Amino acid sequence: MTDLLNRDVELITAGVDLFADAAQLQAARVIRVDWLPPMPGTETDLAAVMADPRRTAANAEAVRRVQAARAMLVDVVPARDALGLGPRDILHAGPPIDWARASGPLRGALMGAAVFEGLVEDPDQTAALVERGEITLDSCHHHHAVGPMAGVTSPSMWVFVLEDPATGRRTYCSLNEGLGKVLRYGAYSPEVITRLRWMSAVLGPVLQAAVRAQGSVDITAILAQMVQMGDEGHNRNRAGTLMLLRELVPAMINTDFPSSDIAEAARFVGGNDHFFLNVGMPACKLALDAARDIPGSTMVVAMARNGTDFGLQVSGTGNEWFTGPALTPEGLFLGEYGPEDANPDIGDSAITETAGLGGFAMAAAPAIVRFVGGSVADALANTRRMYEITLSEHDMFAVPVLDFRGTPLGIDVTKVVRTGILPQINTGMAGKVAGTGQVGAGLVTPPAEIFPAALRALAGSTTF
Amino acid sequence: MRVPAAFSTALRTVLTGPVQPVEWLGASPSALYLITRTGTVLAILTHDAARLPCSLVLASTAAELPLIDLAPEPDRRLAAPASVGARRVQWCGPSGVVTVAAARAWAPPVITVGAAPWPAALDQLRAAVATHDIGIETTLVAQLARAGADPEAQFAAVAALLGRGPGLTPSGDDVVAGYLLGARVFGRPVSGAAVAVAELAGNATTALSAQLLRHAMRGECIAQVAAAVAALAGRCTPLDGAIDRLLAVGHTSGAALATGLLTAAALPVVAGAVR
Amino acid sequence: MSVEHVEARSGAYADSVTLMQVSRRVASTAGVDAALVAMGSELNLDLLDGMRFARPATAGPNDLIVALRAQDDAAMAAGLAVVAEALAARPNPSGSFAELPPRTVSAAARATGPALALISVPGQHAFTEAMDALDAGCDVMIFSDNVSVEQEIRLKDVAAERGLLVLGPDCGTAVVGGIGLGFSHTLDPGPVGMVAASGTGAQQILCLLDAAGVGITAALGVGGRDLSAAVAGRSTRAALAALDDDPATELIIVVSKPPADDVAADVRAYAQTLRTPVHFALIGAGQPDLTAAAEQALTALGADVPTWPTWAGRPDQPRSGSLRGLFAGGTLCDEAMVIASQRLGPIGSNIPLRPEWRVDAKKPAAGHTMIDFGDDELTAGRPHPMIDQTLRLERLAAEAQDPATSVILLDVVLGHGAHPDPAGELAPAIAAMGDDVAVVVSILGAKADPQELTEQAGALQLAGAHVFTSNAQAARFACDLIEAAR
Repeated sequence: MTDLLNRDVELITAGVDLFADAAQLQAARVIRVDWLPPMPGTETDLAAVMADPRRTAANAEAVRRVQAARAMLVDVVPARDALGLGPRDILHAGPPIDWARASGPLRGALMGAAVFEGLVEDPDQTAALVERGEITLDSCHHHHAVGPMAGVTSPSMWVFVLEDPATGRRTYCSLNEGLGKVLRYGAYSPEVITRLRWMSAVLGPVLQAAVRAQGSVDITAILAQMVQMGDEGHNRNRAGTLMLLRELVPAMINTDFPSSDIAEAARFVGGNDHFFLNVGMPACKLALDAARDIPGSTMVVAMARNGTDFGLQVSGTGNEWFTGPALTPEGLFLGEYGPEDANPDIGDSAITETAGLGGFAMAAAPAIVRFVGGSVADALANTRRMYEITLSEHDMFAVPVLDFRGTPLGIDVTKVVRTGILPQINTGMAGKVAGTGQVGAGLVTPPAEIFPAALRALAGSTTF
Repeated sequence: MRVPAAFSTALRTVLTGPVQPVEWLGASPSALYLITRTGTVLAILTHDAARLPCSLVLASTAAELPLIDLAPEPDRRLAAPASVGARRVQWCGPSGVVTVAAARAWAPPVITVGAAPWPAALDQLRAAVATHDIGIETTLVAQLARAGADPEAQFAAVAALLGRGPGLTPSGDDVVAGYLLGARVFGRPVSGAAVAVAELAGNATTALSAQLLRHAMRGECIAQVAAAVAALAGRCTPLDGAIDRLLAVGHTSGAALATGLLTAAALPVVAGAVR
Repeated sequence: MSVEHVEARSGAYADSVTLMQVSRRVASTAGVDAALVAMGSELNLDLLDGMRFARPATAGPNDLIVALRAQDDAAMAAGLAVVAEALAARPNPSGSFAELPPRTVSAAARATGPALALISVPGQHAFTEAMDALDAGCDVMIFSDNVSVEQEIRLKDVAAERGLLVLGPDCGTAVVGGIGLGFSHTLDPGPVGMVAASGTGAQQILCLLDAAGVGITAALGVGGRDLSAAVAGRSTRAALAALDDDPATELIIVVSKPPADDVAADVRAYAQTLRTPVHFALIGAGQPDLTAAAEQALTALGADVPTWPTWAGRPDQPRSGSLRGLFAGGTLCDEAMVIASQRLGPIGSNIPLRPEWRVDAKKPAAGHTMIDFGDDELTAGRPHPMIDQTLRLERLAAEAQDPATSVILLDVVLGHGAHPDPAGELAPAIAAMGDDVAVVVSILGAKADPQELTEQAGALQLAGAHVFTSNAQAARFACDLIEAAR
């Protein structure tokens, strides 16, 4: 029974200000909701989904599974073995796409991968092979994998293997190449290919030996610590990278590789502030994959972009992608580059925001607020705003400046549609011309229309 | 500034009557205390303060609106009395006239007579109180316990407790208030204590504390005491939460009130008083 | 040559009551001939057409329309400045208690803990907000109407599962902790608990109890449909249980239009199982009227029944003709129709006692009529007549012009949420009438109402109205006048 009559009544008002005013004149404690109409045309679907008797329990279960997941780095292996890729299978970021619609950086990365795999000699031959189906493309997400930016993963590249020991579930991600002219930003020049060759020949095997010697590395624990050390896990991974290196260096030194290889590998990892991104991303995917396919759940389990489309997947709607045109980020540019050089949003790295990191943890990373928006106050407001669209707060990712409040976790499609607040994504920017590489970094959101589309599908799935 | 407040019905007469002057008794971030010429104390409290039966309660918390900032500077309070009546309390504060408007009434909890406490519940309360300092000599409480139902011994023990302890509501008075309230609900004889309060409280302790004792004589108390009493008598209020909330009142007040309740519960039962 | 300005501002939402006040303020600016500041719903766009403004090229229901016609550019600038100022003057949406204003009830509850959520968003959005509030562990009062009966049942079933209470939808009034919510009154604590499926019916009894010096523990509106066969008293039972559990509640009054028979039987049977006596005040033929119900409750509590205050007006002898009732309160209209139909015969209405007595609400009809201006048909797209009396004032003038009109019966509802000075608008219209038409007013108000009951009644009396605090007495007096004039 309600205890409404036995407690001191506080009010939360949504709607007509007149009633809130009247209550305040009567010395009532009133919290006013700044209510605005939901995204246009969504009220019927919203009502249907809100009425779904499965929703609250399904969302609670989805959040529980994400919180319960533990990501351990257990191995480093070639992608062909881990992902079951044939010699002509190449994976990419975002929802599925064909060559005709692929953006410049994705095309550039595919060309580089084709050269790297020896499928072509001249990068320009790649288009024809892909169009004839002699190179097959698919989404990383369809193979329990994620890839930053173009996300291009080919059979000979090495991948991190992450595992949740409780469930045995595994996810994968390629090794990070560093910044500047790199494959994931669409560069495919000889230096890019040379670096990839070294990574497969030396870096991958050294890391494999170290990880196998170590047994495993607790990536979730590093994520939790790095959020308290100024990383948000998407555009800043400096503390995470150093902690990973700290875990691996002793085992690397104990391997049988020549000390020059070990030193080169350690220098490469330590010199690349984003090296940890490719471990953090599959850790996020591991947690979110655990929350997939819960009937009635309105929680987002993946946000991913291929440079042309922004794709969204929701727990309660299985593997369906809800897509819309990827927006172009706003932010700061490297050197002479400007907004006209930037490609629309690309990469699977928005998996970090989906898991409560990146833009959602912006308040934890004051060092990069200028890079991605402005003042520290903006960063705090950014994270606070994300609580409006999330189901819960992360048990382990605590933000010191918010009194160790957990980061906003579990994007709820209904809340996005109701408030019109879009998930805030921190991201790098690729040049739109194939071969350019990185041109900047900044902020971006999904296209708004994919959320009403997902809501429509959720409404169609209700049994009420 | 004008601030609406919810007022205790115990203050209705003075609030709705003709305007009269009131003097300052004290001010803190969470409370302002005023007294009329005839000795009625008004407490203006923030939303997060314990609701005294003689209070006007605002919608804001002490953090949101520290009340002490609204009161005149301490050295100016004597010269700047406030006024009460016509459904408001008003004074000139450091940044202009402050009007606390009596917007709506609430009834303070009243302890009803006659319900036996559960022995196990008393044990639990006793164990919880044991870890708290009540701020006065335990011998004074022991004296009240030893007095039993003897009116003269009660009178003496209460006389020793009244006004004992620092602050606007000395702990000794809280023990006595808890004792009176406990005796009321559990149906225990406290005539000697009642006489002592009626005869001595006016001079033996602070005006606010004397008024709270008068409320206790009528069974009026803060909600935390009412909830704890209901829980002790097994009236379906969760006991743990009720004890925690009672002991959280003030620095020592909650524990002192609980000590009084326990002392009263140890008294012999008046025949026919408990159902 | 007058100048016009029409624009659609996207992403600028304000509630209809606020916008109506803004429109009114702008329209009264010197040199501004016409103004509409409203959301771009189809209804408001029609209104724009009616005011001979050109529709903005792209305007959807989420766009704010600002349309002004002024005598010259200077007046236009002044008018637009008033729009800007009036829109900016909206109170800080967060109140003073939050760093960022919460955007949903659940976000607010996450910061403060569960509270009573008061939902007054447009009807098509109300279910979503209410369900969100229940998810957050809040009891809910839904002022909004146009919530489907299926949604109402779903909300009430979810609330029952979680031990929460849903007041409404279409819950016009509630008093909790002495705080009047919606159209309501600040009331003293006392022994009476109320469960109300009728807003103004509850207000009538509460105001009479207040006049008798008897306070309440709580008045819980459950929505006009709660005792229908479909909803089957779901919230009525929950509210009865909560009041029965409250030691301060000595007597419970259930106010409703006559419920579906089997629901009535069930609720009465349930009431029998409670420790607290339950009185039923059901508005209908053969039932005691609201005033009688209040008097019975007072007697049961051992309180004195006072003489209900009245203020005599003029004339006592109107011309022969018809009774015309113009009501803001649906239950008050109902009660007056029940009383008058027994004395005068058929009463035409938009909420008729019998289907064959239905008349078009939008224009005067022959014979005795009583119109409920709070009915959905007349409130779509505009504030309730308790806030905005425009329609009723227009109709009052029209009825006064009708030579067949003998007595006009009005209700005036004071209290929180209601118009700040209803008598100030009605009195001049009443005073302007000839001495051959009598005006009888029932006024509902409590002592602590911001409008001051005695001043409002006095102003109406000065204009010539006969004023009653009992709606039943007002209706009977109006019948007396009609019968005497025959």
